[in-house]
Amino acid sequence: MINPLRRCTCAVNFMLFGIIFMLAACSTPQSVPPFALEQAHQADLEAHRAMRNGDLPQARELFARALLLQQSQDNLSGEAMGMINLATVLHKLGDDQAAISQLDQILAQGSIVYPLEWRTAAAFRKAVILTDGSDGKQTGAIESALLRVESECDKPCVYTAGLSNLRARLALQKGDNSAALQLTKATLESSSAGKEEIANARRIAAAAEVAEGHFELALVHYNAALVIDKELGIPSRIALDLNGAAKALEQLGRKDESTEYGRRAAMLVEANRVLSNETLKK
Amino acid sequence: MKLLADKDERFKGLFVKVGIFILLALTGIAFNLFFTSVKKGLFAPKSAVYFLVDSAEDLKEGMPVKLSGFKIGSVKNITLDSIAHAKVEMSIENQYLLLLNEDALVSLKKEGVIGDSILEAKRGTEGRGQLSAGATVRFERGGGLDQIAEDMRSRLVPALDEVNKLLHSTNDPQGDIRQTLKNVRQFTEGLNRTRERVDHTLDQVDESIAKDVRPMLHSINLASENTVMMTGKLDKELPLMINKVDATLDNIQRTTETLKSAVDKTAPQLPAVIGESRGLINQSRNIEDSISASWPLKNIMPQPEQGLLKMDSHD
Repeated sequence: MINPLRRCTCAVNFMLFGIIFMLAACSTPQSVPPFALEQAHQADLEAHRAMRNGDLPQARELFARALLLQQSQDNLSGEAMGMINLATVLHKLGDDQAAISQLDQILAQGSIVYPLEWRTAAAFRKAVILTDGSDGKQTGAIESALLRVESECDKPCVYTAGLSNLRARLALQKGDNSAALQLTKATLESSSAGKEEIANARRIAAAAEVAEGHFELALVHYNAALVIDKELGIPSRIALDLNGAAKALEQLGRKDESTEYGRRAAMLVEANRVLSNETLKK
Repeated sequence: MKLLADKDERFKGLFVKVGIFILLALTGIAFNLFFTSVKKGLFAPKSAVYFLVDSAEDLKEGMPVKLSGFKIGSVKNITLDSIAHAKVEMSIENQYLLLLNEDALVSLKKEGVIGDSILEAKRGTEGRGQLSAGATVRFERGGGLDQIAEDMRSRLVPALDEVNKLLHSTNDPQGDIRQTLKNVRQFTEGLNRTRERVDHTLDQVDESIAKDVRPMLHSINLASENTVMMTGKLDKELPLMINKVDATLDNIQRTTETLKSAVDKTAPQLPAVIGESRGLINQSRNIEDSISASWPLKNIMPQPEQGLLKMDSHD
C-alpha cells in the first residue's frame, strides 16, 4: 500500500514540474517573421478584404504589392501564391492576357523552381481562364493545361471535379451534349466534389439538357444549382440559374412562372449593380 | 536526533532529492531570466546623454528613447538644476550612440493619437561630429493631438476675447460706435432744420418778393449764419468720427490677423493628425485580425480570409 504522505509529495512534485515547464514555455520569445513577410501578409489580408468588398482595382494593387514583398525575400511559395492571386484578380478585371502571363511565369519554370502544388494550381487556373474566354478556339492550350494538372496533381487530386467540369464545358462548346452529360454525371456521383463544383456540374448538365430538348430535366438541374448557389451566396451564379430556369419554363409553355423567374433575376442583377456602385463610391 | 523517524526505506534522502529538484528548477528559471535580459539589452553597455527642459511635464523615468522606430535607450533620471530647469538623463546604448551627431535633437511625441509618450531622437546634421557620452542635446516638445488642441486654444481664446470686446464696444451707449452714430444723427437733424429754414425763406420770397426784401435778406442772413455754424460743427466732429471709425477698423483687422495666424500655424499639423488617425485605424484592424485568430476567439469570430483565392471551374 502506498503511503499517503508519499502520494501527496509525488503530486506536489508533479505540479511543481508542470508549473515550471509552463513558465519556461511562456518566457520563450516567439520567433518573429521578417518584416517584409509580415507586410506581405498584411497586404494579402487587405487585398482579400478589398475582394470581398468588390473593389477589384484596389485588390489588384494590394496583391501586386504582396507579390513584390514576397519576391524581395525570395519566398518561392509566397511568390507563386501571389502570382496566382494576381492572375485571378486580373481575370476578374477582364485582362486575361496579363493573367495568363502571370501564370506562365510559374509554369515556364517547370520543376526547377516553384513547388509542385503551386504549379498544379497555376495550370488549373490557366485552363479555367482559357476556357472562359476561348469559345472553343484555344482547345490545344486548354487541353495542354488540363493534361498538366492531371499528370502533376497528387492523388487524391483536389482538382478532379473541376477538371471533369472543364472537360464537360469543352464538350458542350463542341456540341457533344452526351459527352458533357456523362462527364457531369461523374462529378455529381463523386463524393469528393465540393459544393461549387456540384453546382457547376448541375448548370452544365442543364445547358446540355436544354440543347437536347429535355426541358423538364434542365429545370430540375437549374433548381438544384439554385439551392446550392444560394447557400454559397454567389449572386452572379444565382442569376444564371434563375435565367436558365426561366428559359426552360418558357420552352415548357409555363409563361407565368418563366416571367416570375426572369423578374427575380432582373431584380437580383439590379440590386447587385447598385450595391457594387455604392462600394466603389466608398 | 531526527524529529521524524523514516520507517520506510523509500523515504530515505527525500528532503535532499526534493531540494535538488527545486534547485534545478530555480536554476532553470534563473537561466531563463538571464537570457531574456540579455536579449532585451539589459546588459548592453550604455552611456548617459542629457537634455534640459523648462518643465518635466509628460516626462518620466523609464520612458523609451527611439531612433527611426527602434528603442535605443530610456530615461534614467530627472533632476532639477540650480535654476529650476529639469535636467533629464537618458541612458543610450553605445552601439546606437554612434548613430547620433553633435546637433542631435530629442523630441517628445506620442505613439499614435492616444498612445504613450516617447522620446524620439533625430540624428542631426550629416557631417557633424559624433555625439559623445555625457553630452547635452537639444529638446523640443512634439505636436501630439493634445498639444495641437492646446495650441489652438491658446490662439483662439484671445481672438475670441477681441471679438467679444468689439461687440461690447458696439453695444455700449458710451462706446465709440454708438457715439459716432449719435453725432451723425444730430448732424442730420441740423441739416433738416437748415433745409426747413431755407424752404421757409424761399416761400417768403415767393409771397412778398417786392415788399419784404429786407426781411428776406434778414432771413437769408440767418440761414447763412446757421450754415456757417453747421460747417463749424462739421469741421469739429468729422475728424473725430473718422478717427473712431479708423480705430474700429483697426480692431477688426487685428482680430482677423490673429485668427489667420492661428489657422496658418495649425493647418500644417492637420495632415500629420490625419496620417496618425489612418495609422491608428490600420493598427486597430491588425490587432482585430490578430485577436480574432487567437484562442479562444478564433472558435467564435469569423477568420479573416487570406492565402490563395478560391477558384473553381466556373470562375
